[in-house]
Amino acid sequence: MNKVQLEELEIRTFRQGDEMVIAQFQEMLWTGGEEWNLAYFRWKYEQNPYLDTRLIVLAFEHEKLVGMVAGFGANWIDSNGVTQQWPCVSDTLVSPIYRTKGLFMCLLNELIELAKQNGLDRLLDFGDQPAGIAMLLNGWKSVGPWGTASLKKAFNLEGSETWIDGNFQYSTTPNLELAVMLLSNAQNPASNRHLIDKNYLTWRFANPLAKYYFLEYTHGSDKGFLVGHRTVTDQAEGNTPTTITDCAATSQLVWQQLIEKAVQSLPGREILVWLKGLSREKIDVLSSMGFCQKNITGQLTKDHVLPNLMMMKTDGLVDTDSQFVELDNWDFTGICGRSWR
Amino acid sequence: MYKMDNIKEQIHDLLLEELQIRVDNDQVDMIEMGLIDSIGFLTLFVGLEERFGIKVLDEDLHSPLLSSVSGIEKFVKQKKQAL
Repeated sequence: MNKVQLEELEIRTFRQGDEMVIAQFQEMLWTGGEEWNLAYFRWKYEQNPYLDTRLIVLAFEHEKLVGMVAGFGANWIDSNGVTQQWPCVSDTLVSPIYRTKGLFMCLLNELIELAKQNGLDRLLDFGDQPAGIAMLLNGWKSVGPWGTASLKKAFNLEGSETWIDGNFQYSTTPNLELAVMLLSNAQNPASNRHLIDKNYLTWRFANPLAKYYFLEYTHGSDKGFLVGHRTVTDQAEGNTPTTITDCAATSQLVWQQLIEKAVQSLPGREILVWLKGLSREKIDVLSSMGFCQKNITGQLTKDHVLPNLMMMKTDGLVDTDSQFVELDNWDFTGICGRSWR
Repeated sequence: MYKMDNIKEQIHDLLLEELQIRVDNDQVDMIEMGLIDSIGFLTLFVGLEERFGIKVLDEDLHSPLLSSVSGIEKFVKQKKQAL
């Protein structure tokens, strides 16, 4: 099979009625079963506050879906303070029989063209998958990657109850006012950063394939907010770590106390944290608690498992602007970890 | 241990042993021909690093050399000379 046979596929954008076919096809990635996959699709593309289904590209062999690449809406504030719509590439999946046939790049190039037609100047991809290599080979720019830290801990079962312990409150429902205040205050205003407001966080925490665990700290004017994340298909007994996707506080001490409380109380056997954006002092705190760091090596074959940001300008020009290509100019507060999965 | 004059032979061995890819023409574009995908490249890079003691970096992927056997040979030689 070669590119000539790829031309026999129907490659087109999403149409109403494709939802269930997508939910079935994406079981390979989403693993939630038809009902939950459908809910996830609707959440991600139909209930997204910034963009609809217009950036979904599908490949059909007759009536059978064999490939998908999509972009979901994400609103950013660039380092000049201008709000930008930079969708994130997501849910890239090609049926096994079409792998190594060029279909993935064909779909991705269609997506870039589609974004351009919709007046969008840039696509982002937070990938830690091998597909990133194909993207780099085809002109995508790598901004990252960045390191992570993880800690094996005493096993905890899933906890769905709400409890209060001194100044801490644990819940599966977020305090949005507190989250917006602390997370937006934690952002570097001189960086490219995601818009954080109540609307965004309400949508983000409604992800039907995610389980979120919220820890709050309140003592007078000292406040803190931490989010733990797992997917609904991750069993607490399994090996998938619980990711601390957000942790913001009014002081370093409160931040540290939140992390310590999270290690004690979050479900699972392991806690994972991104190091991007953490100060030296905070990384030292993690080390003192026993977190093991996985740092970048500069070697593609070792770093491909780390989180990364890749991007592509839709005009096809090579991105050289330091505002975008330097990792230090990006702030990932509010989107960290597996929060969009 | 490899010799500079059998780099190409080593690359062919690597492609065949690790990826079951037999390339008859050293100039052929393996991406264009759909012979290799991302996971294949990752395997290829690990093999190149192990056999030749080089390091493949993100920016190396912008090199057009990596799509053919003769290009990969040049890439390895450049990397070796830079060590």
